[in-house]
Amino acid sequence: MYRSRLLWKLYAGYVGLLVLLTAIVGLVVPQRLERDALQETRSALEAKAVLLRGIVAPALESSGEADLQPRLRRLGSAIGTRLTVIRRDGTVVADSEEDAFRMDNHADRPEIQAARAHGIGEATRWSQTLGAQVMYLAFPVRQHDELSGYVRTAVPLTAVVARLAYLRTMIAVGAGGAAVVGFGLSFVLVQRVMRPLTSLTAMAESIAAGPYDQVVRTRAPGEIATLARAFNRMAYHLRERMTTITREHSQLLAILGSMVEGVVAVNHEERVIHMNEAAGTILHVVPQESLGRRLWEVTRVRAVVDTVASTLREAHETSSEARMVVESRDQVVNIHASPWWNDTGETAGAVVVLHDVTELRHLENVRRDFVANVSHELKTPITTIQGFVETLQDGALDDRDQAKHFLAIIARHVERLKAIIEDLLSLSRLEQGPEAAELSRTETKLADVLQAAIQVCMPTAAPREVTIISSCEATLRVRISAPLLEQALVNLLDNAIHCSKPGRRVWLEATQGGSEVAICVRDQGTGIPQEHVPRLFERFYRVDTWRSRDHGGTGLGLAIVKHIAQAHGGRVSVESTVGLGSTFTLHLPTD
Amino acid sequence: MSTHFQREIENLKKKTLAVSAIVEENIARAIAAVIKRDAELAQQVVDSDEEIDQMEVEVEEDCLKILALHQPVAIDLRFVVAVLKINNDLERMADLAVNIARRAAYLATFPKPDIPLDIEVMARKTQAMVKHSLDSLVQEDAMLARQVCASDNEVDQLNREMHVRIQQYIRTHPDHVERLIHLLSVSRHLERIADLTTNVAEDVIYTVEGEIVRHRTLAYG
Repeated sequence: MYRSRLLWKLYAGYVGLLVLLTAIVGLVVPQRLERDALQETRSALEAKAVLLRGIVAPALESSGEADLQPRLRRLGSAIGTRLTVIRRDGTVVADSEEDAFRMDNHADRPEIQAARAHGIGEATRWSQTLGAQVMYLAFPVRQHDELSGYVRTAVPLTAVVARLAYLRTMIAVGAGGAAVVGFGLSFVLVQRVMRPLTSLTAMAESIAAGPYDQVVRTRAPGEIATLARAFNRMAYHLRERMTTITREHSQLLAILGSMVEGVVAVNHEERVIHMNEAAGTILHVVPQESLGRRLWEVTRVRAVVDTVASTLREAHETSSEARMVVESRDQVVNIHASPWWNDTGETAGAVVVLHDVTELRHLENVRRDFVANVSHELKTPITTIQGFVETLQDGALDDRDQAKHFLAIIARHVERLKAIIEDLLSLSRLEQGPEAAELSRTETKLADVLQAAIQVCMPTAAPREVTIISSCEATLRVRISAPLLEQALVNLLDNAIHCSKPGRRVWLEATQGGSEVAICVRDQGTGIPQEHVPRLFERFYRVDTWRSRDHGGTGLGLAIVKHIAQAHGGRVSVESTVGLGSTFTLHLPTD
Repeated sequence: MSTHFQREIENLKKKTLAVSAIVEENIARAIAAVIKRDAELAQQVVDSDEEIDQMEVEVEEDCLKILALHQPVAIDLRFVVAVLKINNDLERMADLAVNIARRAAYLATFPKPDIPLDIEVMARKTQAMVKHSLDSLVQEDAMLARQVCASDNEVDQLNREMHVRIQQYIRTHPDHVERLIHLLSVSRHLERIADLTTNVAEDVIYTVEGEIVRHRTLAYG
């Protein structure tokens, strides 16, 4: 409180007033007193001078001046006043204190000159002899309208001066004492006023720093108490409002934060005012570090920057889809930007929504490829069949050997068509779920299934001089659907055999580890490049698209394997090194 | 400093970053075209180079305008000078990306070679250098810029290794010689791009610290 400028201002005001009044009293009163004292002295001198004139006038006229001196002496000492009689020409006739003939001519004394001029003369001078101020009063003496001389009375002012000095001291002490008391009292008074103001100020400051549960109490007079009450009410309302705002803000942040889509809000200067977590993930930036920065500093993805710029410029929604490579991740992102307006209707900024549609587009691509592939796969044998049928119709029928040959070819292609369609059907059945796939799982000896699969593949392996080696613990039993598992293994073995050069080997191994059984098919073939691995199990996906399809196969084998694995609650994985070979592993959980 | 001047500096920064974004994108696309043997992607790179050339001219003109009209001093002057030089380097990087794209288009006409020649590691490193050099420009981060300069050694090393291996493969697989030579070109172009990113990084250091660090032997990192 004592740092308050108002307190010291008020106090200074009081002090100033007190000092002023004291000064007035201390200066004016003594002055008046002095004037009155002098006036008194003067009147006394005047009276004495009049009396002296009455006494002296006849003596002056009759020139009986010789005895004036002793008479003046007696009178002077009796009334304590210096009396002087002066002739018209200025010479001193008699003086109550000095020998007349020793005194010089007084014609030039101011009181004498004034007396001659105005009928009365007065002067105050420092007297060397007496060492004090002396007041002189002179009257002219006239006899029958003729100036015969002057009478002069004089008295030293020492007593008067001394008395005045004493009075001044008294007044000073008294006024000063009163002033000091006043200082003290006014300080207390000012404090009383300032105290509640100070606490109000402190409370206002603490509210500004953060809503506080503080209440001002005061014993101050009426207006200040009213102010304090109003203040308390205001603080309460402020607290309420702050709570509401904070809660709503948190809700908003929570909603934005849990969205899958990325949301970025920028102001008209293209500075980021908000970015949620999802946007940070898509753009590979840290949302907190991006706040307040320009959008084009935060991200260099051209599609985003340009979309936002065009929205701000043209004040309407803009959408675009962009393929961006961020941190070597290939994404397709749908960008939608709309402007937002402030109260005055001006464009205040833009809100951008980013939607990661990579998966969506990928699936669309897969579907498109699939449709194209199916058409092609089905069309090729059909075209061939049609061709041969037309040839037969055109006359080849007549040549029995040719006809037989052609029919064999047609039969082969029909088989192929059948195989493709059967695979497609079983694939779609598998995709509909284990129930639709008529998956009945029974406890089966795994070794039997492996042997059955190898048996099926022997006719393919033998002519190619590929050896199949199998290893499986004889007692290993798993709950599986034997036909389905056999089909999956046949597909895998078939692939392995077809990519192995003559004399190579293919391994079929089943091992149990922990909660799953792993069945691996390993070959020493050409291997599969890394970039094909993610799409390997897609329908009709082929690694070398320009190689001819005549090493058979529907292109669906691996897709079927994958779905069979999934129908058993497991998965299939592949490891491959180009030039060395590949290993396909079925992982089946043991319930 | 007048706000008009401030705005022009901001616009210059914005344009430079826009150019750098396209260049970065083109380098990425060119590399992807090589790895995936995608001729269409390669063509996109070639087609977009004209836009880059135009923007490069615009940036240069803007720099000259700022220098003439506002006669900037101290850090602003260093910034404009750095932008002039970086602009040049970006345009050259874009041209190298076009070169790589042309090689990619050629390689796409061939089937995949049986040789395991992986240019991806070197490409990723180069792309990272491009990104970091541009990040250091945006963030005015001299430390990041110095890291870019330090990484150049790695790319140079990878380039040398690539040379050696390609020479080996030319001997063992003479039928692949055209493809191998084109891959060699790609490697060289990548190494050149990496060198240009160190130029950019040095220019950033100059802007931020006022020191010219090129031609200094490395006490980096």
